[in-house]
Amino acid sequence: MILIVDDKQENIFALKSILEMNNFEVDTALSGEKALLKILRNNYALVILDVQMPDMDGFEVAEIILSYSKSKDTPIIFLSAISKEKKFITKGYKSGAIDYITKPVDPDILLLKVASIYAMSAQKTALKRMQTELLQEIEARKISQTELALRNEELRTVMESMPLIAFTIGKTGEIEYTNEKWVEYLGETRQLPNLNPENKSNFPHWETSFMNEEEYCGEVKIKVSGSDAYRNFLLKIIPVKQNDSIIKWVGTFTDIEEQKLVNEILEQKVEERTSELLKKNIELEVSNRELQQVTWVLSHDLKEPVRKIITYANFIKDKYIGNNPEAQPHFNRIIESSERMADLIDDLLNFSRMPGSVVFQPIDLNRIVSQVLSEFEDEIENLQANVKVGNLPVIEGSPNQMRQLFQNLLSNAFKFAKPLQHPEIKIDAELVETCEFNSKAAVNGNFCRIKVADKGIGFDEKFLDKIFLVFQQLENKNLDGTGIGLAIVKKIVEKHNGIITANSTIDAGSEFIIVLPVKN
Amino acid sequence: MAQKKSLRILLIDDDKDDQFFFVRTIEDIQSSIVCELADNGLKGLSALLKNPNPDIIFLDLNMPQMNGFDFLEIIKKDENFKHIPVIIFTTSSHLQDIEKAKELKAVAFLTKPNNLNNLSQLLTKALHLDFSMYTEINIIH
Repeated sequence: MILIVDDKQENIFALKSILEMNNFEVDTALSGEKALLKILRNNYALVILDVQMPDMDGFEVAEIILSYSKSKDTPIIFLSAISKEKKFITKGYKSGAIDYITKPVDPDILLLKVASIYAMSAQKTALKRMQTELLQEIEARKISQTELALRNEELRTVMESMPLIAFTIGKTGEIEYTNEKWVEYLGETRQLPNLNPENKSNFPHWETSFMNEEEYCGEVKIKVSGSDAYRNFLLKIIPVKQNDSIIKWVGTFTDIEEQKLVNEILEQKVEERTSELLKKNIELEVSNRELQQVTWVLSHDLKEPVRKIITYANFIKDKYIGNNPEAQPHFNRIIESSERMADLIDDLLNFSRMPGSVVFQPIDLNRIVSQVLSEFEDEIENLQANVKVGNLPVIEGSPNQMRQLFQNLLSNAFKFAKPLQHPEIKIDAELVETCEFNSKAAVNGNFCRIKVADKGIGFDEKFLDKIFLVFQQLENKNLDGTGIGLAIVKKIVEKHNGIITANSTIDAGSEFIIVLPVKN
Repeated sequence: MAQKKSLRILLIDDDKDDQFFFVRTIEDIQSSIVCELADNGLKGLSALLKNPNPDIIFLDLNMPQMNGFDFLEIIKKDENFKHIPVIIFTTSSHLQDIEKAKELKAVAFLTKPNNLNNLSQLLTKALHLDFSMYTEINIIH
């Protein structure tokens, strides 16, 4: 927009018409003061200023316009009808005007001048805007550079303060920065140490991770600079991404030599302990076997004299004191006690003879039980016992031990039968699903549940834990037997990887339940 | 079985007491039976050589100089003696001993009882065994 300042309305009108006809926007002011007010409010591309005006002449107005920062670059053309002398023209130019035109104004010349000034002004404004933008850009760049430097500095400080070897790798794979620890360990080199000197294939290759843009983690041995010693390090290299693309990699070597050593020592300790335990175990086995042998020898040697005592006592009783009713009961006590002792020794012998391990073979329990029953023929006949045997399966086990198991259980049933009654004994078995006492029956089960029940005197179930221990006679001291039989049964069951328990009610009888694996 | 001619038994046992009770018991069962005694395997062999063909040999296992199994092995390899039935007469009732006795073709296995009445019963049973029908070792109890 062009501002025309003239105190004569007719001058303004003429100029305004010419300019507006040529598509310029025009504003007007009738005095210097009014012009200054307008300039304060608006931006003008050009001011056409009449020199001769009352109160404030054109020169004064120009001076103010050009000293005011907002408008100091506004081009000014002076128009003058009177002051045509050279000194006025000079004054006009000096006051900052670009042109000084004398009246009468040639409209064509004026238009040309205005047009060129207008264009210049527009260019100047554009230039100015560009400059401002450039300055802003420079400022922004300065700020971001400072920030970047700060961040780099931070990274460096962090990397220097770490007790690790740290470094950064650029996009292209070359090492950009290394911290003090790097120098300490690796010297001045700018190359990654040979990562897989022993070619341990279980560690990935850094090159592969680099190509795949994946985090790298591996264990490496590094020869410490200035020494021959190798130490173990954990190497981690992590990509730093910006907008989904890797701008650099940050890597660290952590010294894990001590951890490794501690681990090795621990492993060694564990190994030592294990071998120590194994040794102890073997020693225990040996001493256990020795103990068994001692027991065997002792009881074997004890057995002979006791047998002699019984035999001679019987012999003397039959031959010499059969008709001495006073001596007879005392003699019977000798014989009974000796017989008890003999039984005890037999049990001890049996217990100490139990082999350490079982050789498993398929055995038909029907056959085993019928063999055992034939050994009890006399007892069964004398006591008129009723022994019922169900159909028993074939399982894997030791025939001798299974025989012993049924011998002891039957002997137990006879021993604890109710006095003066015919013992009733029932043996049966079924296949079951699991190795549990109350497991469900299953035709193709992997376990076999055997029950041996009698209708004898029974026992209090609170002694259940005790009946399977060696030499537990419960509380009834009057009972015959040594209490070792059930301990042997339990040992056999355990050697066959099975379980045993019993249910009992006093005066109603006992039931022994055994669960054994069909295959061992 | 031995009613016509008197039965001849060789007992090989180092235990004097067992010899005493054995002889007494056998005499009680049948007084006509002749018992010859030897203290160990070696003496048993020389008794056999001097006086061959006893009807039965009762053989203890654990003896000095020559034990029962060694004696048994020797006579079972000898054409002159291998037909003689041998009954193991021992304090042992160990299964391994029974197995070995079976292997060496002993006809029966008799564990010495504590009681004389039982001994009498067991020996009676043993004397009534039919040795010609040997199939499996007889456990006498």
